[in-house]
Amino acid sequence: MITLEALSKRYQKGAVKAVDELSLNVKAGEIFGFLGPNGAGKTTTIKMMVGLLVPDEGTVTINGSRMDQDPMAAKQSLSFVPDTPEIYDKLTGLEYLNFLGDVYRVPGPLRRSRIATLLDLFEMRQAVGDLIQSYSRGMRQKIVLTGALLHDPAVFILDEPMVGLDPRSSSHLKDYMRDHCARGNTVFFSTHVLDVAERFCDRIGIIHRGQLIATGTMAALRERAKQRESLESIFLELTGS
Amino acid sequence: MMFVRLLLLQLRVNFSLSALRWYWFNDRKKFLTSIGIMALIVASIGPLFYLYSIFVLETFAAAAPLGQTEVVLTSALVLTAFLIAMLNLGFVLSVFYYSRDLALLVSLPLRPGEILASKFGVVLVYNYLIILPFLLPAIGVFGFQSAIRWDYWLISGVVVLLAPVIPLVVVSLFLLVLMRLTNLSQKRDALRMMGLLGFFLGVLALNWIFGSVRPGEEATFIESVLLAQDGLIHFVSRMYPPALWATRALVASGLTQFYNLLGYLLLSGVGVIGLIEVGQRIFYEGLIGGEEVRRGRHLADDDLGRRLGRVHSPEWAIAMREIKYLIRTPIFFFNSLLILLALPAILLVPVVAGGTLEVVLSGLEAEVPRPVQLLGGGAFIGMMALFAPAASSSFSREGRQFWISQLIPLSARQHIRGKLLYAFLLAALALPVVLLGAWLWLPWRPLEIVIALGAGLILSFPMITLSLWIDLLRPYLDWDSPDKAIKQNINVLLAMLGGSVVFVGLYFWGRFLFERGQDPWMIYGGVLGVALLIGYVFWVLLYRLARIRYRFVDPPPNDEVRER
Repeated sequence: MITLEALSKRYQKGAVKAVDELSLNVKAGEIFGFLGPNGAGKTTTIKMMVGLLVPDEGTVTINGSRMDQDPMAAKQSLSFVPDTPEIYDKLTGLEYLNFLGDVYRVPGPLRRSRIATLLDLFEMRQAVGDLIQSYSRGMRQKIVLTGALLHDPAVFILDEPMVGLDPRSSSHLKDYMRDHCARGNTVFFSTHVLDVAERFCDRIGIIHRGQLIATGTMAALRERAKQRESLESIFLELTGS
Repeated sequence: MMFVRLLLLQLRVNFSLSALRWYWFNDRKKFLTSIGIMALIVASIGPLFYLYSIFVLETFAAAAPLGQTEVVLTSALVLTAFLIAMLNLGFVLSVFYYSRDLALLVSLPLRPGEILASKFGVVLVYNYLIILPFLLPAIGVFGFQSAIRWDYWLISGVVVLLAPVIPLVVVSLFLLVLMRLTNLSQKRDALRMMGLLGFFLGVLALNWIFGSVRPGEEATFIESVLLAQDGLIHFVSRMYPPALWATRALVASGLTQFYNLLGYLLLSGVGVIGLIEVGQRIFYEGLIGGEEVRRGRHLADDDLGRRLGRVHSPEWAIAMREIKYLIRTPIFFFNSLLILLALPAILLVPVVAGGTLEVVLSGLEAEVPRPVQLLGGGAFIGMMALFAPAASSSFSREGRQFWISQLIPLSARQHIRGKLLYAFLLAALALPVVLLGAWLWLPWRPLEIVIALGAGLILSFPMITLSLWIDLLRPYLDWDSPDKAIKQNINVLLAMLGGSVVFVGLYFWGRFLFERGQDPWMIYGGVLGVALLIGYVFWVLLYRLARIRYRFVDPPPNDEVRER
């Protein structure tokens, strides 16, 4: 579902290598957790995956479509939830969802039923008629999540999705992500909450100074990190913290 | 003193002084680019400055036989006050209430009056840049053409420094009260836009009242203005008496000069102190609150289905997003849509109020063939499309939300079609203005009016595609207050300059055809044909650019800095 091949990105005229020949393959039905210290290159990698940044080298393939060759098909297959929910705050929640429904070409009846289901899931029915500028951070995050799931994407990419969500919504989101993967889709998300990654992900990747320094299941990572028990210990050891 | 420190910080931020210093030491190319853009702006107003200076010189020569040459000073002062009142509503609103740094400033141990005063200082400094091209020629022409004393130059410095203060205080006080009164209303944005519109129309109405002459009193009026001592100066300054005081402070002598200068200084000082005092009491009450989460109505499935409405094309969705955003953001609305409505009013008020409309219209009917008149009506619509910066700031206004446009699965062609549809829908708002004008004053038949409106839409085409192309070349996405996206956006100025060049080119092409004795309808078709061709060229350029820019524009660098 997601294939990254030798992905690289440099900043400041090549002086800073944000992502360094990163290769990764995430299969259908998999929940993949992407970890790394601050400034490791997580957000840059994710932005290249969703087409917001153009890699200096390497390729991104989403659901069989190369982002550089057929971006429309790749983008139609994915959805993205950024870490800072900068969305159209002068639209109402409903207008924002309708806008996304139009641009992702979600048919009317399907759109109505999906919006109704997702609004119930995130408990947003009472706020969806208001302007987004009146929403709290958590509510913004929920409306972005609702919009991102509206077209039932094959690949669901999230950057720090739990930040700002209350525990119940966070739990609902995790349930939805599991269910989404059970239907053959893929979830890829970055997080700093190691506990969530440890319990929730099928596989984990750790990025440090732009390089993917470890990938695998929790069991494989434990094996590699001298039988350390918790992901936190493994993370600290691998990233040299 | 905290206020001085705050003001210096605000000036450094708003005029990018710290950024320029950093570029000087770390990125010389970017420094030179920034300086180059500033030089371009200054150079671009050079021809207008020259023409205005000639106009002032001619006014001085015309007023000399009447012994009222000071009128060039009074006129310049009234003009700058009028411009400041009309052009600063959106800017002051943006700086006072919508700057991103306010969230930080309010949490610091600063008094509301200090924050307001520092913001007022920023607005004041910006306005010197606006008024200098209008005041300097008048002061220079009068100074060099008259036998004046040395203190004229000294006092003129004081007058220039004080010139924007009183009109800015009036605008600021109005906005403080408006924001305070509307802050807790659920419809506050709509009320604020109505308030801005009301102020705008009020200034126009005053202009009308003070500029008009009652029927039957024309002879008395001319006598009082031309023959009475200082009659012309009194007439010009009727709408803004401080201009009279400033003029006398500059040209009179002895106690008259002293009292007028003192009055001008006192009014300005009291205005600023009063503004800070009022701000100390109500600034926060208009700024804080009103954005809290409200518990809305639970939407049942039927209601949800009804409110979701019909499915639309992606292009229509883009156009509607743009329009909703424009009309719901007071600063965007004021600086684009309202200008579209106000500009005709500004142009018409002096002609209608001065009673010269009939003379102008009869001259037009006698000298200009009807098809060329219709073309003129169309050109007016095209000018509106150019000067209302709805297209030339379209990409920039997306700001930090540009990532959504980059993410959604639309081709460059679909994005551009959506933007074009939006810009044409806005340009079409000028159609009723022309329709009304034609119905009220012009002897055009209904079919001719339709032909003029069609010409307007065709002439809008190159203006819109050129404006969109310029804004997409270098979209200004990293703004921290909405005013910067539209009024302090160099793309808007460049689009106006570029569009003006196209218009001048079309005018000379039409004139060339006219002088060669071409059939008037041939002139009509010839001008519109070339306009279509230019529009098509920019459409192709725009489409090609969009294919690159939607892919390669980096989102604003917040994330790169914080989380690489």
